[in-house]
Amino acid sequence: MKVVFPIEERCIDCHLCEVACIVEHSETKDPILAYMVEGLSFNEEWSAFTPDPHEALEAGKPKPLNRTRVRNNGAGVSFSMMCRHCEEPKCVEACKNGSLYIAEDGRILLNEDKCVGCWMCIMACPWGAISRNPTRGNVKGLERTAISHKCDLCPDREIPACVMACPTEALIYIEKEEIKNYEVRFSR
Amino acid sequence: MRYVLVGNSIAATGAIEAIRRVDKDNEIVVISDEPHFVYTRALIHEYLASMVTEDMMYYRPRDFYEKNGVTPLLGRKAVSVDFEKKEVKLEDGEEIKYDKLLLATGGKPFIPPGIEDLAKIRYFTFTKWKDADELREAVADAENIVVLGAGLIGLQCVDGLLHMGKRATVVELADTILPMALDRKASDIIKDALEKEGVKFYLNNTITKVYHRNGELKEVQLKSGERLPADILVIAVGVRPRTDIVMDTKIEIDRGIVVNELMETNIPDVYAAGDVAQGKEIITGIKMVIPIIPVAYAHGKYAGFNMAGEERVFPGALSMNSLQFANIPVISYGFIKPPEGSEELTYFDPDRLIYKRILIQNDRIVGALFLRAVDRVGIFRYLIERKLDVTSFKEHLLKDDFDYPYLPKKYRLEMWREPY
Repeated sequence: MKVVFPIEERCIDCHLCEVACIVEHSETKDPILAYMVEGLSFNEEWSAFTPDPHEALEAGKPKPLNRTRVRNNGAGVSFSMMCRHCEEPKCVEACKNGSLYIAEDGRILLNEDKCVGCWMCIMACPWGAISRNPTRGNVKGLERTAISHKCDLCPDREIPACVMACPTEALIYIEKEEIKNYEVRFSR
Repeated sequence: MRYVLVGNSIAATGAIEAIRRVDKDNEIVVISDEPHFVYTRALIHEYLASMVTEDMMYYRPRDFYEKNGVTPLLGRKAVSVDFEKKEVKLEDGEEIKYDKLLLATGGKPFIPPGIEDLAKIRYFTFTKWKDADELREAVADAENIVVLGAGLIGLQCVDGLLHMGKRATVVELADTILPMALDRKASDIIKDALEKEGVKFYLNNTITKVYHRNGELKEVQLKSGERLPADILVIAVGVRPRTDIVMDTKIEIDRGIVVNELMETNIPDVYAAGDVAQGKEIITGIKMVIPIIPVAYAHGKYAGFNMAGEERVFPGALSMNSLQFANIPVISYGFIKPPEGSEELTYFDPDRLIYKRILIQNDRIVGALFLRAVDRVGIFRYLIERKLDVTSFKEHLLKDDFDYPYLPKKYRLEMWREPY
């Protein structure tokens, strides 16, 4: 199966992949509406690091619900990293109630109606590819439940939105087996 | 050829899914004394308080057994195993032949000795679906609920009770709460938050005697001398491997059933997995019982592959916990108590209420704890499991945005080469 693979040498830290991801997964799929009307407004302060996504939501500064995230060391290294759709996914192995599952086509997906927001997946995922979506909650009586949030490889698209949006081709959509042979990535 | 799995929870599911990746044909029989379709015990506290639906409790889609060619024998208790005849004996007398056997019997609540008159009252434990149903009914008119044990099971029970509008008093032998997952500082933060919600704690204490009238609980006597009024007593001091069905056999049992790196016991064709098994721990290499969901699944998966003939060596289990009490998420890995010669890195921000602690021994991370700042902490799982030398980026570990770009390029290349 194909997954999205980042090439760090090409990444210019522009975060357009995050924007494309947010828009693609918005109700309207329109950037202006997604950001200004749907309330997913991007805020540097809150989105850079949000200890509690609910606080951001209450403060009117929700963490953008991007499913990929540009990781940056502040010293010139950056790349966008999202779910690798592992063949033996640690998140699925850790999921308390089977909300995360391996779809027939190999994608790792979330049953959004079942997730209880226990963060076992966040604990388990070595890639830090799962975040919290505070706009939903399935557990009654817990104000601050949220559900997990992760890359679904854009089911409505042939090529994921982040890959299409990346201006420097720092994200490529590639067969898993080809990654190990992809010497461009490893040679520089 | 027939696979027989005793137990019907996380480890058994891991085994079924692995077996079916290798062997699509041979029969799999699952035996469980509980009547339920495979469900998660980790949600019974939220089920207790009707916070989750029954559907959310089920661990797999309802066609899981049919799809995987599993014959479930549910509500039927396995009582013994004859390793010579390769048979599992059920309580109703039936004998089930096996070619490959998995013991995934889980844990059972430990009842501490030394509580006088405990046998004369009805007390509760809290590990199964049935326990939640029974407790819900029993606490309906209860005023005073006492929970013995401030571990995960005890506090989840208390959490469920809080959501039912019930207050509980917790008695714990240790001087901190959740000792398997929290250090003192994190324990203090969570304890304060729970106290604000009305939970009372008696730490450094235990129950020595129960007072009853005609079998009806009235009070509990604490070691410290106090007597607390009590209508309901929940005992949640921990679980022990449920080894009953192989007691008095030649199988090697230490704390749990001892398994090698292929999840085999010392008896041919007999494997063990999950909370009943004592397998390799990844930091120390020592065999221990680590009763958590990810380990149960991994145990079951490796057992399943090996049972089906695809040899896979279990790399070792890492202890880890993800907890949420009083709206405070905490994730921790590995050692909680600093091992000898270890260095402690800590970060505490009282305004954001963020606490992080990392334990480093011989330049490797051996323990990590994150309170509230839990985003992307799985990276620490990777660093611990791969035993990577963190010296060159140690100063970045506690940063808000610590992530893979902070690692040396050599490590990043290795990370991309990990199996997708």
